[in-house]
Amino acid sequence: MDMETRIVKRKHKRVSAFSVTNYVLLTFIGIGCLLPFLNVLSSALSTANLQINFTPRGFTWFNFQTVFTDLSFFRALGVSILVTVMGTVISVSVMFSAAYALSKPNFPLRKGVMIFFIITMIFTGGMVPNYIVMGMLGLTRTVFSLIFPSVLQVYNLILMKSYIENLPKEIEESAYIDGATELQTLLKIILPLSLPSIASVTLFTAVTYWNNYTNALIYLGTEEKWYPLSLYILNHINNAADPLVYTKVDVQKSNIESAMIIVSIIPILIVYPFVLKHFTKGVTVGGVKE
Amino acid sequence: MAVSLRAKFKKNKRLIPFVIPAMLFALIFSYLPMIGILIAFKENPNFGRYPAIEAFTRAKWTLNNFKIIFSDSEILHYLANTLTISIMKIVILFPLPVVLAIMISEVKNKVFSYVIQAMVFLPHFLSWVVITGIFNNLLDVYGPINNFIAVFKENPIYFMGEPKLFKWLVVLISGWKEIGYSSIVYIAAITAINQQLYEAAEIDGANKFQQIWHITIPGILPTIMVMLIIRIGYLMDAGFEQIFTMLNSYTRESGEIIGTYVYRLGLGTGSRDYGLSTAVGLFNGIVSMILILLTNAFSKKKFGTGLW
Repeated sequence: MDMETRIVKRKHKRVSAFSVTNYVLLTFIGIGCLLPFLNVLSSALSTANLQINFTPRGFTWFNFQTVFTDLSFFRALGVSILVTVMGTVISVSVMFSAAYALSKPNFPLRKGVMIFFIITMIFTGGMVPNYIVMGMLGLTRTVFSLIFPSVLQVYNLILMKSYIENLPKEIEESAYIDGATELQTLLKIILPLSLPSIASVTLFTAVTYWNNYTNALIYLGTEEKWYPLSLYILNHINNAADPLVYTKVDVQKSNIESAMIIVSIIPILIVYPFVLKHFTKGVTVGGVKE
Repeated sequence: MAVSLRAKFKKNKRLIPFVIPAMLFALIFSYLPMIGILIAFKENPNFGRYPAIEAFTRAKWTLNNFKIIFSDSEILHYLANTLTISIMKIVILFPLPVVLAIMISEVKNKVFSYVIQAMVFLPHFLSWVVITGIFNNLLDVYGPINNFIAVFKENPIYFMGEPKLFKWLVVLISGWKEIGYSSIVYIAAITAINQQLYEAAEIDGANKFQQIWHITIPGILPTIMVMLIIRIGYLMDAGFEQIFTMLNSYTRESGEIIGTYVYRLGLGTGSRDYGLSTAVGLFNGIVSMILILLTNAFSKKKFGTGLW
């Protein structure tokens, strides 16, 4: 009896030594993920000062004020919001409606249609052909060139399709017996039941649109009035002075850039708790499936 | 068979309109550009001067673009850069999410676990523009890292402009952004391991490391293998979005990859060579497609799961 407790105690002690190390290491990793953000935030709050070590030097709101009184920054912010909202609405509705049809086991040529979509995941025409086709359609230098090329999200289609496939069939069948049309069944029964899946796909699509800069880079050319926030900031970064020959004005610019970066992160931070929530759900679903 | 298909069609034709929009988007924005691949077999069409179709028909047919790919030392250098960065990313970064997932799974405190996961997943959701901006700041000649180095060394290091460091920085920053997010799939796989195995091992006196080595790792090995195989399929993609934001005139030589070269050549600010750019893109696309198909088929055959 006595010996048994001793063994249990010893084992317990060894386990906790392991977990203490583990907690400490993880804390360092977590801090390592946040420190770079802290540094940008400090830079955004500093007066023109070179030496910033994770804390602001000479606290000021000047950089944020400059960003918020810069009309071209506001326009880029507006473009990003417009593109994200429109793109997400179009993409999710198009993909969801396709997912619904393809979830039916007896959809004609179901396998062929799936292959038709999957091919687009593994082979693309490439940058120049994309650019030429967009030009022929008259879409280059327009806001649509930021929206249309990213509507097709085959991975989201597959996710929603398998979600709908796993819904209980009985409810849908009873709707048919009651004489509902396909569209009514989709909107009144499948849609409400699929909301968790739609919500996570919506969040991920919105983040994709918000972060995308390559569509703008390839299709907009010099049409600056449609530059989204991402490309707007990238151009600022690329046009920044060579750090080897900094002047005081350049330093000020780099602080203003930091303020832009912080502002552009805020929308992501706002949706982030919801992303995490859906995400842990998605992971547990995946876990159960395996 | 034909009859059953027709019957199926009749019965389910009301469903067809639901896939039409998605198919149209695929046709116009994915399949139509595939025809544009023919530009690779043309002697630089002058799209700047003529309407697209006319520029295309005016240009001469040629195979020269493909000869250039295999003989031009510049392109071969960028190909080497692509493969080097990609392989460095796989060798250095691939194992780390597994380690992180095991560490996170060992945390029993739910709140701590949630907070850590929130911290390490965050960088994945930010754009490469933001990430590069953040690291420009951190690695600035006057930034905190250089302020720390100043303690030992007189001259600061211009990290983002140092050709020798460029590839390592690409790997480091890509790791900072993606290790956390990549660990999710392993965290999920570890949750699926039978808990009784650990209880039995504990009774047998196995310590934590022995448990991890003999239970956790074998338990998630199939997942690790599938992820590795799929990752290798994306060998030709060294990370266009990341590297494009990081390149500058100092690092172009050591950092230019096929993707950024295709952009610069075909759509950049200098003189454009649409034909050669398309050819390089096509070459890259075909090699990637073959790799993805092969690795996916292998993964499906060996482990029962793949990309689709």
